[in-house]
Amino acid sequence: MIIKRALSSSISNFYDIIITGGGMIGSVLACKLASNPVFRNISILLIESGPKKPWNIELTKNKDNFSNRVSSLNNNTKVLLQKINVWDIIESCSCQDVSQIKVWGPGSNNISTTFDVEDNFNLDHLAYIVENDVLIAAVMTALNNYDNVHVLHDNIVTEYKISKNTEETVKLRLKNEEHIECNLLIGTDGINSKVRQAMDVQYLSWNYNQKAVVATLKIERLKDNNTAWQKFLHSGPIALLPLADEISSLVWTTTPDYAKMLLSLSEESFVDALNTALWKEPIKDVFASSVTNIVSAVLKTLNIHEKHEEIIPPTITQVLKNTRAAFPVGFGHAVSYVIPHVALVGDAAHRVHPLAGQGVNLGFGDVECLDSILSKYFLIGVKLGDIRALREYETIRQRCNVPKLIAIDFIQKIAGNSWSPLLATTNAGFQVTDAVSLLKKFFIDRAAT
Amino acid sequence: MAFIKNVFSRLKIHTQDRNKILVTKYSYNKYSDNGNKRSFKFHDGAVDPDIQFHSNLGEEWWWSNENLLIHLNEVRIPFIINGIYNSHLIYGTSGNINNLKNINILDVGCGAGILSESLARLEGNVVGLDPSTALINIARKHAKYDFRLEKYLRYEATSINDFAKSNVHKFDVVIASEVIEHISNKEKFLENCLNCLKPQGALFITTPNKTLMSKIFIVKLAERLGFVPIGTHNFDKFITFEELKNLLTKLGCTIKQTQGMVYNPITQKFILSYYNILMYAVYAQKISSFKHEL
Repeated sequence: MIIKRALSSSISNFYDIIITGGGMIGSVLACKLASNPVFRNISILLIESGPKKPWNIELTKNKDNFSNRVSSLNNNTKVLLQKINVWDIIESCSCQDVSQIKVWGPGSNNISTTFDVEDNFNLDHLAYIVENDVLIAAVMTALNNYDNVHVLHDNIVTEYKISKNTEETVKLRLKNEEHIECNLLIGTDGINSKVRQAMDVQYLSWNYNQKAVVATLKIERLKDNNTAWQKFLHSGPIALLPLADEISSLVWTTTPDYAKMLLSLSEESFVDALNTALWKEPIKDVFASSVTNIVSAVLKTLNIHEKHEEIIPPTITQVLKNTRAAFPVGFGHAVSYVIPHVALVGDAAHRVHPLAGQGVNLGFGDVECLDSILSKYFLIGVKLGDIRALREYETIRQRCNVPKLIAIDFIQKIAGNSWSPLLATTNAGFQVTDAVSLLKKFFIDRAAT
Repeated sequence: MAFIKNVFSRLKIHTQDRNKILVTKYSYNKYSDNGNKRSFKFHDGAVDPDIQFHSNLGEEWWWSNENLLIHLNEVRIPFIINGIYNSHLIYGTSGNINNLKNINILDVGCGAGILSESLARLEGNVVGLDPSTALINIARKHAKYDFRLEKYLRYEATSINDFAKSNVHKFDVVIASEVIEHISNKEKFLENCLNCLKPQGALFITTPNKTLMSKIFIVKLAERLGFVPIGTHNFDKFITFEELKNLLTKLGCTIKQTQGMVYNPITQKFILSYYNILMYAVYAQKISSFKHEL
């Protein structure tokens, strides 16, 4: 490390780029920047508060314990991970392809939308379910190949000094009283970002008064487990994401009180509660069913064929030991992602409801964009951290992120509500989306890019 | 909308700062009225009112996002790098990585070093030359913010005329970006530039064209709307594309590439274009190794 510093800079404790937060987004960003040939001579520091985890590929391959924190990665993310040569490692460990997504509401088991990979010829799979730990471990291993990046484990930044003078570097103080400087500080430290607070930018946020209960489940299924299920209920959506044969991951969004209760239940009772919620009798609603009939009639006159396929969700047989946990869900968006010398990436900049599995993918989109913009400006001799480059990143990403955040927030507000006009709207939405293949393709495209 | 707002805000600033600007303009006019009776005498043909004017701007040079020269970097640097690659000064490119290592570059009329700093960041050995000591001091001060520049960047507060005498055939690349429109004796200036250049070296010039359009947009509108400070340009000193081409050919250069440049005020970006009525960039190669008379 001493040699590296001597090579890369004449000021000790100076780095060109400092990334705070070594989660999925932070580590991938560090890897993406380090692997970019343009940045081969600059120094990157990744600061992670957690300890360095020992990781063994062989051990992960043959394991039976699955982590409860999983992410659904879309095709763009896969391409990004392929570029930094970690996709192969992830694929060899634990990665389940999703080729079908079935979504239905509380109204009827006959009214649903099935997104199939065959609806869109551009994609191999709709999504990939990967354990967060596996992803981070694979990226951290890949980071060892690059000598322009240094990972600092078990450390946090205690003080940020962002100068008003736009030419001066950002100064940080670490937990161990060490002082470091950088030209560009990138905050990837999640929803309660300290970097965002130091930047003093406006942050728009609200809570859904919901909690997401996660768990790893054993399910009874004879066919390949490559279907993701999502049922919208009044209290929030339940999602089953395939993780391996007979193993699925649960994301059950519900009220905080009920979530607390679910965590305190015995394993058997938890499985019962889950099966009941999935198989619950549809809500009988005269208005909603008449709207459903009208929509059916309209679709018929338009000569659009409806499938009327009944949803048969899988039966859960067991919840794996010590895999249940709950975390709050909410909405958040930083009005500004950048100030001179500082940028926010991923959850630090935007937070979204997990119902569409988009949160982390939006973050990876930020990573890809920031890397290309920074290298574009670096190649014409612009200093790292220059506001022009950062503004361009902000503009491009906000144009992409904001519509998605709004759409997901809208779905959260509408879908699953048992008030009859909204129930009718949800049902009509499922019906129309399922019948019109163009609409389906549109949704798949939006989710995949 | 944003553009209109921008324009309005600029106009507002200008009404507020009118007094200051009037003073600047007045001093400019005073110098032009004197005509040949210059209070400062420079030997390279560069006219003192222009030097005085740019020196007066002082720190304003580096107010990011306000100075169009900073935006201009986005087109002139790719143009220069492209030319350098084509001139075979760099053998064997490493992918798409712009690196000017071991190339000696002279930036004539560097001002506060907006172009020089960027080229030095690409690891070219850059010498920034400007007759104004005040500007060179600002440039030196600003370069200190990036410690990596130290190794690659050097500033000289002298005129090209004096500099050329002691630096004959020293540079691979000479750049005069947005300078020649402030020079009265253009032939002498270009001759001095070419003297600093090695045989087969590359000369890059960017300047506004001398057309009705450039008079309207660059001299009148840009100054009225506050895109450039009032009194920056003197249309009479502009040079047309053909004139410059003829002048360069006369001095023993081959024109290798020419390109127009257009500014889009809405996106606040310059773009390279075939439309060279407003501004243009020329890449010329010095062919004759004949040492011009000093």
